[in-house]
Amino acid sequence: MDFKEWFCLNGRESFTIDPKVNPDDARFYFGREEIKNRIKAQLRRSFVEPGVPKMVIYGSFGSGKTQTLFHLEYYLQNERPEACRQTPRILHLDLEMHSKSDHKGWHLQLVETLGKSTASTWIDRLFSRTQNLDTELRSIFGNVNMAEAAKNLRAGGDIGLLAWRWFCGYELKPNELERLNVTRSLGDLGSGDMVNALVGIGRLAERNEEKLIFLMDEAEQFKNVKTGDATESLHTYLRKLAEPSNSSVGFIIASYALTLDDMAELLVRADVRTRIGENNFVEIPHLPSIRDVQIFLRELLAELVEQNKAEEKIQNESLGVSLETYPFTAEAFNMLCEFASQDPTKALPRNLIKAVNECAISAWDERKPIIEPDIVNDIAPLIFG
Amino acid sequence: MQLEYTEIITANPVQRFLLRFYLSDFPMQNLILISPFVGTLEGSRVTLDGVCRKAVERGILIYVITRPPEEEYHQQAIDTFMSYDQVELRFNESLHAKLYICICQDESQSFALLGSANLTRNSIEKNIEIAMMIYGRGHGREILRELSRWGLERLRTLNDTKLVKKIKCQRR
Repeated sequence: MDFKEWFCLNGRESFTIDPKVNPDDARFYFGREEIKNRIKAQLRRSFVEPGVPKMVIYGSFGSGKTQTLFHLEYYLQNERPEACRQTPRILHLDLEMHSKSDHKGWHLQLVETLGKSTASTWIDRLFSRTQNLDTELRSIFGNVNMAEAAKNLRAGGDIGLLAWRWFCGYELKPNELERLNVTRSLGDLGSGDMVNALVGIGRLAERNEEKLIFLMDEAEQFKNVKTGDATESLHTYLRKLAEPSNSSVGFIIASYALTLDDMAELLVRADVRTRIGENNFVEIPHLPSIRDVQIFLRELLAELVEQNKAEEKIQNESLGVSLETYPFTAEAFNMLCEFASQDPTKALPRNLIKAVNECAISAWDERKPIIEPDIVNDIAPLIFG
Repeated sequence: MQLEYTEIITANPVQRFLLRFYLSDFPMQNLILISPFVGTLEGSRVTLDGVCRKAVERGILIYVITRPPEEEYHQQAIDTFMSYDQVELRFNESLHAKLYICICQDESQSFALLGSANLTRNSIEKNIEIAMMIYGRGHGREILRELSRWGLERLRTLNDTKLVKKIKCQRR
């Protein structure tokens, strides 16, 4: 018998949840009903036309920011808000910023996350539905150069790739610009032009019945930018993306920060905050009380343990524990909750999941079918002490 | 050769990993050492004892998985591990993998080394080794998570991985 069978795990090797490794884990959002409902309500409101989500979530390491992003994707895909008329096209990216990163690097990450093939498919579909692609693209992008470059995305080979490089913001040579029939590179007019191109791509998505929403994790990376000019260009890019006039490209940014002031400064400048809206800055808190910890752990165990198998095991082996806390005895479960709640800053989902795993591994080492208080007493101080 | 989140290392990979662990100042949580053979590394730039001492000072938990020792040098390394409360030690006779992971509080600071090198002085001074350092940035983060799950969960819970020493908690 292996670890998975020993603890009646539900199609998984351990008690760890990680939507990056196992996409099905995105459906979990244990405990924290209040914050979950608040974010979902904000999301629903954000789609009321003309609108898209523009949100910043923040919290400490291990508070569940990444899980929140993946869960919101799951929510949008499976319970699409009524106000969202198109199918959400959700794109995840982990932001990467270096000391000299500027708006061009950010734009490149966003556009590359979307990918050339998606954009080309959208243009192809538009072409099959319209009588005049040129006019249609000009109405979508509101700019002749963008419309010309977009038209070239349909082409295969060099020219299609060149058009994509143009949208990515690469500086092209004069003869390359001539081949695309455009008068300048995208970045020549600064970050506003790049945002316009991205918003244009968002409108293209809408014409294809899709809504473009970027989920950007690790926004603390903005703190790596040390150059003043680069910071300003990133700030301008964000401010323009947050403008009410952008109703085509949504974004949810997640950042490590204990408080709002702890975030990268460009994310919380007054002009950005007013555009995004104070209500759309949401803290993902630790679990504030012992009751929250209990709910989190009960929900986690209920999902990760195969209930029928566990019930059978409890009865057959006369384990004397309730299904609600299995594989913990009631006393061990309460002890773990108490340990976790002693220092509220450590009552974090990542720590709780780690504690459950380590307690289970410890019981497995001794081939104990259940986790008793002595194990919790050994393990919990290592994590919450 | 260095990409944004990986780097191929051909010169003293184990020493590079240990130096990064030893010299870095950011908050770390766990150090995972998986190597069939382990030595005390006395005489090299970072010794096993030095690694354990840093772990004690900084509250870092060390998880070690190695083969049961047959040689004196390996036994001495085991003795070193046994003398530190913050070390968990496990034996697996079939172990052939060499994987070293440092899990940091900020995941983007985490790093791992996966390659041919044992945690021994020979691997640092004599053997031709190759390894890949993986950093917790971009796609590297997902690779690190997978490696951590394998090392911290899968390998530790295999039926033939035997617990030799538990971590002893220093209560505050």
